[in-house]
Amino acid sequence: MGMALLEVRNARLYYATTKGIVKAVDNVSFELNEGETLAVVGESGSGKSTLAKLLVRVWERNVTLVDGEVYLDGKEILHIPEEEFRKEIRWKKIAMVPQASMNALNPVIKIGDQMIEPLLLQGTNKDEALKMAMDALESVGLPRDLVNRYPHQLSGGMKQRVIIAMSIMAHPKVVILDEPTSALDVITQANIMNLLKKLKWEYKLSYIFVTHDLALASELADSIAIMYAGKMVEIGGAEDIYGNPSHPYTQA
Amino acid sequence: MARKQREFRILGMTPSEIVREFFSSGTGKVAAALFIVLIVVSVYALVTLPPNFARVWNNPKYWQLNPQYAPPAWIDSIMGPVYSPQIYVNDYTFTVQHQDGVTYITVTFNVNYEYDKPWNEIFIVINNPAIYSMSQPPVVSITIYRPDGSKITLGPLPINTRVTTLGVSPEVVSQVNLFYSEEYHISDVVPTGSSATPYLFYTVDDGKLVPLKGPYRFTMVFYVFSQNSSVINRKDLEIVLQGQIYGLMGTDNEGHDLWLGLLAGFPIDLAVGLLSALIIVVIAVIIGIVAGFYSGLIDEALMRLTDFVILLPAFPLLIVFSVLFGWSIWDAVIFLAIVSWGASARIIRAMIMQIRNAQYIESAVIAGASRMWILRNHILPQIIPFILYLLVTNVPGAILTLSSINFLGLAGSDTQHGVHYSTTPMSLAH
Amino acid sequence: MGLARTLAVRAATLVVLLFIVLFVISFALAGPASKILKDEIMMETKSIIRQLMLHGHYNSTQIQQLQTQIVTELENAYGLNKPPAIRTLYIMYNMIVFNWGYAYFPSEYGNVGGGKVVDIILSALPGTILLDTFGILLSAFIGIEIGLRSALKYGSKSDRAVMYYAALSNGIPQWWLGIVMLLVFSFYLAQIHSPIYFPTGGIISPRYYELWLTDPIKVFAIPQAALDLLWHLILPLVTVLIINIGGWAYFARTVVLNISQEDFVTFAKIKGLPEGHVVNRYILRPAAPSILTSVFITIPFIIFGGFLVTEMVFHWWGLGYVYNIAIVQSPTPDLPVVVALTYASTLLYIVIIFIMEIVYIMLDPRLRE
Repeated sequence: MGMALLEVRNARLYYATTKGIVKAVDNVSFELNEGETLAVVGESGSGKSTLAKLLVRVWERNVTLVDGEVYLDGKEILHIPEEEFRKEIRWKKIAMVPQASMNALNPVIKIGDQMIEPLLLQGTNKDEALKMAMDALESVGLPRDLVNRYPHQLSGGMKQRVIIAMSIMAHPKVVILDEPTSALDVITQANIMNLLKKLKWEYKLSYIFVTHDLALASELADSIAIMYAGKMVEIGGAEDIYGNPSHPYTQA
Repeated sequence: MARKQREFRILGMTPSEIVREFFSSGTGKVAAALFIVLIVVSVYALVTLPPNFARVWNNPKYWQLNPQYAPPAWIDSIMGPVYSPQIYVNDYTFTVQHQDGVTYITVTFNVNYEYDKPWNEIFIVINNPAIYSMSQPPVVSITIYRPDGSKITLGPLPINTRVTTLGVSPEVVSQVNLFYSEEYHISDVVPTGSSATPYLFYTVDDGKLVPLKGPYRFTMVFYVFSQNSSVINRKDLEIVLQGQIYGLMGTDNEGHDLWLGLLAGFPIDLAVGLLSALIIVVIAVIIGIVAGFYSGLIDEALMRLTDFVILLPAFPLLIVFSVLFGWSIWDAVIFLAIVSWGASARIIRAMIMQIRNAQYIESAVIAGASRMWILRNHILPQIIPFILYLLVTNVPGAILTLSSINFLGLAGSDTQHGVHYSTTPMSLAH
Repeated sequence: MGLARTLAVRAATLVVLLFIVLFVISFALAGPASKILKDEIMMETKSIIRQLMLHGHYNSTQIQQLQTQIVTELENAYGLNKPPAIRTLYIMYNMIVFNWGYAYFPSEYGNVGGGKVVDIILSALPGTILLDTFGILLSAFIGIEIGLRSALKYGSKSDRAVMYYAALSNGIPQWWLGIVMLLVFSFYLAQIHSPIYFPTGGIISPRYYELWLTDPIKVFAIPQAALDLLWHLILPLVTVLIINIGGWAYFARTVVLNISQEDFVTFAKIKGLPEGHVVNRYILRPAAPSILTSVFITIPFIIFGGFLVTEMVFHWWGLGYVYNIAIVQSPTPDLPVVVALTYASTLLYIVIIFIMEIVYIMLDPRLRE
């Protein structure tokens, strides 16, 4: 039928700062099909992380303008009520592995409790939820008894895996990976990339992979979008972009 | 680089940067505003009050002309003319005549009485010590022409002290009683022990005493029997009508002008606050910098000390020492300051640790920068705003703490705010 | 093991602190302040002699003998005949075993149990607990709640109003507000014959005074007495609340604003958790340890800087009022009471701190090992 899983049309998000309006996302449009991975590549400040935040509708206080349309399965989700978005879309359909996942875990709550929180709120019973959390941990290559640990007892790579495990527990359609490996050493980075590939096949996930590293992006992506100064300057198949860049930024 | 050097900088920051940094916070604004008010009022107080005000405050003679427990003067402007105000009579006529070796000095003045509650007392003040020890002192006789055409004659009264209180003289009391019994056939209007002065301003209506409003004319004739006729002269003579309301804040049981007392408290408060804040900040900065800069044993030892100081129950110790050693307010300030630097030192240390671990410090160290250089160029500029903040916020804090101490009855000082707040409203409440 | 060691170190620090405070007080008493003690012994002796002269028939030589005897006995009892070092230890020992001597309190203050200092302090403790503990907890609870709401509505009008209130309440002395409250709600209301007015002070009406001093628990069993206590409590409690809520609100707002910028709060929102849940589990829960730290750094200031003086303003029979009566006692301060109160409040303070340390460790898993 050819309808995209996620379709973004003319998305705009502006911030007000002391130095004036910053057009962090400026007229961005793209499509993402089921099971596909789109890498959004750009230097820092290009608006790629803001684009990720726009899709999960979690942004800073100083936003002055949010505009455009975002369709998920053909349904507009950018302008539906906040509560509806939170209950129906966030995490259940669009999950996100945030940029600073080192600090994304609550330091005073056990890993397991943090993992099962969304499930408990949906009414799943606690033992069942815990079992699901352990399964998820196992599928990202972590021991099951990690549920009883606190975040400070884990290494950076382990925390990243925990967050990835959390994101797949909800069986979302789209997972946004915001620089998922930027704070990790090279070996852990490679392990995480392999894990992401494995999960993609296993759970038929669609990724939006936000990174500044074009080489890393081409490893996972089916198509690549280049962002520069809030605009999507180039979008195309991974091979095309990597082999035959057209925008000056991509060439550099 | 060279262009930057030409700017005036305090420890790497331009003054405007320091000011902007500080005023951007809400607490900073409030603290700074309080601080400025404190400084302005203190300067005003130092300029307007006599330099030996503490002694003046404790000298009851200085305040004896003032009413006791009087409410502030501005209540008349709210309630209408009810209470007579304090009046220092200035525009009197002063004529001198000599006859048969006796000098007659005639002083006349008018007052307009339009209140419900008359003046408490009339004082005749002669600021000439020569009068206090004369073998035959001058005498005064007073005639009062009342608005209803009647007149009361009082005296003669001897003038042999600095202040002659008109209404309490038994002679005057009997003369006023006589006036009422002749005019209105009422005997003994003046209750025993009371001053007769207020009854100069009453009349009788339907058997009851009511205020007689209108212009009053006073004529005082002084008889000087000595050759030295200038013992009473215009320069040394003061006539005061003691009111029922006084000043901006009223008076206490000794007639102290509470506004002046409050004013005199400001410079002391400021000095107390500044001294305390300075001690706290200096100790905190030294300990914080040393601990933050030298890791290891020194840091560990200093942090143990800081923990200890933070935990020390300063207030009970202060109470016990004040009681045992009879501490003054200054001892209390210094003691409190010496045991209050803990929390600030800890914050400064944390700030320095954070700065020290930053990338640019590492590169500076690699480039061969000395510790002092790093301290001066990277660390001090970053903690200066905090030090300023500490200084300004500690001043009101110290003042509040000291007013509490004062209120508890410790470390007494005469013109400190705690005393004033404590005596005025409580005396009203009981 | 690590946890036990941490706790042991903290406990040891606190015990050392208590001993140092005790030593300093005892040393001051034994050395420089022994003259005051001697004066007090003379006074005590004179009052005993006066009693004896009233009730017995003694001639002047007998009186003289008795006086010397009593002075010597009392000096021995206080250890004044020993060298200062021994005396210091002796005083310390007496302090530790709660042998705090006798007070010179005038009987109008309800001299329970023959004026033993321990009894006076014990009788004042319930009042302090009722006003101070309850006041601190209630103001912290309300203040943190207000601060939290204020932070969630950052920049709004109500937020700014809360901040101005906090700054203002920070600048007003608690006792001053107490006096104003008395003036308005007790004095003026009674003057205009308002049907509702508040007492001018005191902890409870005189007819329940005896009961409160001897058995405060029973007061709560009698409805009228409990109501009477409440009637006396309202003004001081409201004073305490008005002054302290602002500080708590300001503090809680700052903590919440800081923590809501943490990544885990954003992530909790991305996870689709409802706002109430985010606030409770991802903002307040992680903030609890730092709120507690602040509590135990500021609690001595709150208690000694404000509450003790407030008790005095309202003639509230608590430790602060007892402190005040003892300090302004003429001709010399009531030394045994002042010293014992200082030791008792230090002891109380150290126990509170230690409890808080334990709670702190329980709240923050990072400290548990």
